[in-house]
Amino acid sequence: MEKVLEINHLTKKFGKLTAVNDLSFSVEKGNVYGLLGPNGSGKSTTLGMILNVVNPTEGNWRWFGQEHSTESLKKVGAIIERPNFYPYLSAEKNLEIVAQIKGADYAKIEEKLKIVGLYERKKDKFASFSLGMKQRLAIAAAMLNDPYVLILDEPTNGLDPQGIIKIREIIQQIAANGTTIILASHLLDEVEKVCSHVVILEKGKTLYSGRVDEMTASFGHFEVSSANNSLLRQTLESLPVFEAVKENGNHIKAILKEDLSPEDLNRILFEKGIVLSHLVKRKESLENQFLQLTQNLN
Amino acid sequence: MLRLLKIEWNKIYYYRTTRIFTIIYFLMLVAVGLILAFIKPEIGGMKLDIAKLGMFNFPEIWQNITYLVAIAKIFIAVIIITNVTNEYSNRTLKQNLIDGLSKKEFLTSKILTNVIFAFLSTLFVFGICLVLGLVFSNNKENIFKGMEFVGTYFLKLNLFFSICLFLSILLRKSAFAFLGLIVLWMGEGMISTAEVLIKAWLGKGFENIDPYGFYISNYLPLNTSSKLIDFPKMKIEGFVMGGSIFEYKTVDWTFVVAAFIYIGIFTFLSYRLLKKRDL
Repeated sequence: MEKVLEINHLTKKFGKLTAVNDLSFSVEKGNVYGLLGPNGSGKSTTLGMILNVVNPTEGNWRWFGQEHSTESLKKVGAIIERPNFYPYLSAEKNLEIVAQIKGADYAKIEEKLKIVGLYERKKDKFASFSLGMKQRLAIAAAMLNDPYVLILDEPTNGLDPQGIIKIREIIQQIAANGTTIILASHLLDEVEKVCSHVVILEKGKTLYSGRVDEMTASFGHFEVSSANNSLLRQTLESLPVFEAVKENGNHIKAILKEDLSPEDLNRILFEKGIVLSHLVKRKESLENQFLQLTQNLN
Repeated sequence: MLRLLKIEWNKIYYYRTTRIFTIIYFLMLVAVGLILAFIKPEIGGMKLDIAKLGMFNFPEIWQNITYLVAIAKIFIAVIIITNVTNEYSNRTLKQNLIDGLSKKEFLTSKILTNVIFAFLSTLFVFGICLVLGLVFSNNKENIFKGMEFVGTYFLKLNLFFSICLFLSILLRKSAFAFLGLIVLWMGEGMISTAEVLIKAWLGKGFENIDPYGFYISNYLPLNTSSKLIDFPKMKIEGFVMGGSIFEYKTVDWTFVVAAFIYIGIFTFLSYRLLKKRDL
């Protein structure tokens, strides 16, 4: 796989505080990466460093396999924290400045404004825009040069539900075109909805880096019940595939330690004379996995 | 370079307030010329005709006019400081860097703006001097003598603007940048006063002090700027005889050297600040 971004041993210290601590990970082309972590875990600092606005204390990174330079940033689109534009300029003029910096064609301005639904407002001053519109203009600016990578830092922060849905739609559209996306967020469901890979940070350290669906070794659990729950429980405890069996209200929760399909479990229990009234196999949600990971560390 | 200029053009020209004040500034320069030429105030029943005093005679006119209009540079200073500090308060500097502008390019674009403002001002002042001189001067030979003051005026503006640029980057808020300018100005004034006092104390009395003599404090940044085009030298005979009261004296070149050094220092410090600071 082609590497779009490679981060090696990146460290940033603000005085005594270590905001990012020996961080290494790489981003492959065409995937949607989530950079996940609670507030203050070093997400924005990390993005600031690879975007040339924060000086690293140590470590390096490579964009597109090349030494870092401002040229590579022209192929990256980024929205950090909140949309930053000249309030006194129109949407169009603001994008003209971005186009001049990135060396993009002016024709792109119209195209991108249409994508984010701001074409009719192009002559209006940025200061007159609502937060949702400002955020959409920021996406248009980031997309202006058809970047290889799009970096979004908390893109839905502070937006109303319609605004959030609109931004997510745009992000999914962009991802569908094969653009690599790095999405920093503390909202787990947001990451879960759009990301294929995730890097979990806490206090500047990497907790996990890899595919979202391989995030924990857990095989999930079964939720079962039958007419005779105590017999069911004994039977489940006697099977070697379960790590633990717990009573959970009317149901019994059996946690797997190796893979087992619901069909197989059903067959085994039926052969032992137990007829199930309820059978569900669940995988841990990202939220639970995230909490587990952070709790294991503490 | 053209790219950087285009970026700056969008940032400055389409900001209506800056645009209006820039236009007012250049109109003002012209107005100063017109007022000097046509207003003849009466002071204590005596009609004061500055043309008759030799104000517009070649070669003195070059120094007289560049000295007079230099104060207008405050206008451009306000525009420069607002323009640069806005990049911080709107966080557009951060966005520019993220979009792929290098810190060096950012600084270059700001310096280019300064140079262009200085160049246009110089062009206007040159035109005003030339017209006033050709109309009112009592001699029209050798009109280009003394023109070094026009070049010095250009240098003076660049020095002042580079100080403004540095203070804007250092303090990041327009109000504080102006405050910085005032502190620098007052600080230099105090040092100058202290130097005069020390000299008087060592030289036994104020009567032995030559105000046009050598002072180390004259080489402080803002003092250098004002010394580049000094208060025009006057001769007493002019008053008595009723002729021209102004006397031609060329630029003190040591201040030209000092100005170049200061521009270098302030530009370097601005770059270092930009480079070192996290945004």
